[in-house]
Amino acid sequence: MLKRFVNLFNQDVKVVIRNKFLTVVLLLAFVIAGLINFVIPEDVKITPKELFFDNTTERIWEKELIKRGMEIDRFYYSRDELHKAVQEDKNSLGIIAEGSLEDTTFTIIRQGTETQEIINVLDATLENGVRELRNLENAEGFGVEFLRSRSEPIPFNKNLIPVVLVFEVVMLGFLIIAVMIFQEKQEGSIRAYRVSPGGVLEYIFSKAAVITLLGLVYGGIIVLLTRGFGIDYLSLTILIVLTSTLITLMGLLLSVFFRNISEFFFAAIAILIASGIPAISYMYPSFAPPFMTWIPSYPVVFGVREILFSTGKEGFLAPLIWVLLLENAVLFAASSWAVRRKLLKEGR
Amino acid sequence: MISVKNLYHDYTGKGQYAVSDVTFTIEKGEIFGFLGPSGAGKSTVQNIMTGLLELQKGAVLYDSQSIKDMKSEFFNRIGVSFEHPNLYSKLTGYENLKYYAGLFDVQTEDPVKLLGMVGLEDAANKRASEYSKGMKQRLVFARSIINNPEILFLDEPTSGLDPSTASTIKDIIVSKKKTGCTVFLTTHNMFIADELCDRVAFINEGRIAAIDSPRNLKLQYGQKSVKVEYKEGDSITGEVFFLENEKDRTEFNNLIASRKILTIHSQEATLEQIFIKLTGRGLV
Repeated sequence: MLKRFVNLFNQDVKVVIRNKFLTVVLLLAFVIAGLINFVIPEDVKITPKELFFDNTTERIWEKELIKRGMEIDRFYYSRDELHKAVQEDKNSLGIIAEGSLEDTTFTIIRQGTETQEIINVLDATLENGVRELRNLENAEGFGVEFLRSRSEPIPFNKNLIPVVLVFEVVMLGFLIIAVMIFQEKQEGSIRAYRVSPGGVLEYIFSKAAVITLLGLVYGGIIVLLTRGFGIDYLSLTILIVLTSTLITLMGLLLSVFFRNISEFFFAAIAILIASGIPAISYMYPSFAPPFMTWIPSYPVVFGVREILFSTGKEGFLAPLIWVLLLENAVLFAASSWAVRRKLLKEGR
Repeated sequence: MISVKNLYHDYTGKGQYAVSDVTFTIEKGEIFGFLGPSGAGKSTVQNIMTGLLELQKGAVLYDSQSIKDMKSEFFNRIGVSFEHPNLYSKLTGYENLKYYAGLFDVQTEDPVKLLGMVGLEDAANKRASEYSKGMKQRLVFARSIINNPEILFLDEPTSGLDPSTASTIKDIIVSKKKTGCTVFLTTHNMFIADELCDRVAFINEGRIAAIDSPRNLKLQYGQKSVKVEYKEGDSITGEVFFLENEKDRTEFNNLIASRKILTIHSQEATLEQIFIKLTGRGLV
């Protein structure tokens, strides 16, 4: 069986290379690593840009904010100028400060599309600023405690690495296995395999091994170029391997039931969208309905983040590996049955 | 010995049998031809015999062992050549054979030698996608004998080949028979069946219409005839006379005496004519 596996693996590697799958994966990995390192900023402001007109005596707000690093071009010198600027920049808010330090009043000019949360945050920020300038203590008197030693905030561009790593591995694995299966069906080469001593296990293992290798090449390049050597590569490799095999088995299981890639297309889109939904939770962690946590890619993307940007959280990897192993076992049983009954047999 | 007994197969599950009550035996070292038009049930029978299709009803026995009980080792003993070339188009001819050889647990032939046997040595390093249909057909044939099979299933092995290459393939089939290989030859080409087969079975609409050696079938069902071409005015006319028929014999004699004869050929019935006689339809 080992000899046959090696033989099939060699053949699948040749097919993957000659189908330009490896080229696509390498290109994608370098482009994404380049985007993360050089194009996507480290900090992205997702709230509207505040523009000011400081009409207070001695312009106390303007002086203080410029001292704190705010760009000078965000200040205007009349109401009309500010109105015009807010009108022109749809992602901005206008703030007019009037009165003196003791009795400052603020007027906010809104676009009308801002959420109440944004207004509340702005309100709290201005109130806090007033207290600081007046040298008053925080009236609310709240404190903050951390579960673990505080970790460095993750830059916005680097925070995308787990997303592009997990979801691209999922997408590539799923599509490549499907293309390989449909190519074998279309060429009829699968019929020749059916009348050889080759079995189901080595057939599945070979495909899974090749796609996992592609996943590791892709993941390795991205992580190496964006995070360097200082991370736990062993844990990362385990997660990529288990995720790749899982998605390969899923793609295999599904593709054997379709005659060609056109019929498979809509089912594939549905699966890929479902697998990608946890990216929403990743970007907005407070949104994590229970159904989403059941999607296999959900714990993986957070697991990868923990490996890449360790917060000191302990014991997260072992349960995740067990879950992935269990999912792999279930899908392996299902795909073996499907390959034996549907792919390696004909008709009725 | 291969024994197929009362074989039935229903693709629809509604009692519409593609193959009905098919029974025949094949002796070791025999070339057995399975003749019939498209859709007659030839491939269904072959697919059941090779394990590609599940056995529904009846029996397929290899030396008394059912195809149902065969393990994967069975495939070390057989070779299958498909009518429609099914190769890895991204691999070269050599790589296709090398890969396939690697699937077997028995000693296999050298791919280079096989490519030479079927005249593809110069195209060994070309991708299969660049092969012509005939070249693909030869490669598929070469692949079927890579494991030195005891039983060879050939589906239209000379289809799309030029006469010279077809002759090479036929020679290889004959040489395989000489080494004791049993050949199950599925075809609608009466000439290759007549030339190669020890016995042939006619299959039509899923049922066997006749089984015997080509010679016996001709003797049993054929009529000896003579084809005469003669000049009539400015045109050339041809007529066939069955000399066992008294009326035809008289007409033939009159023609010889009264006309200017251009050609006379004696002819025996072809397998196709016998097939038509037995089934009411042609082989194509």
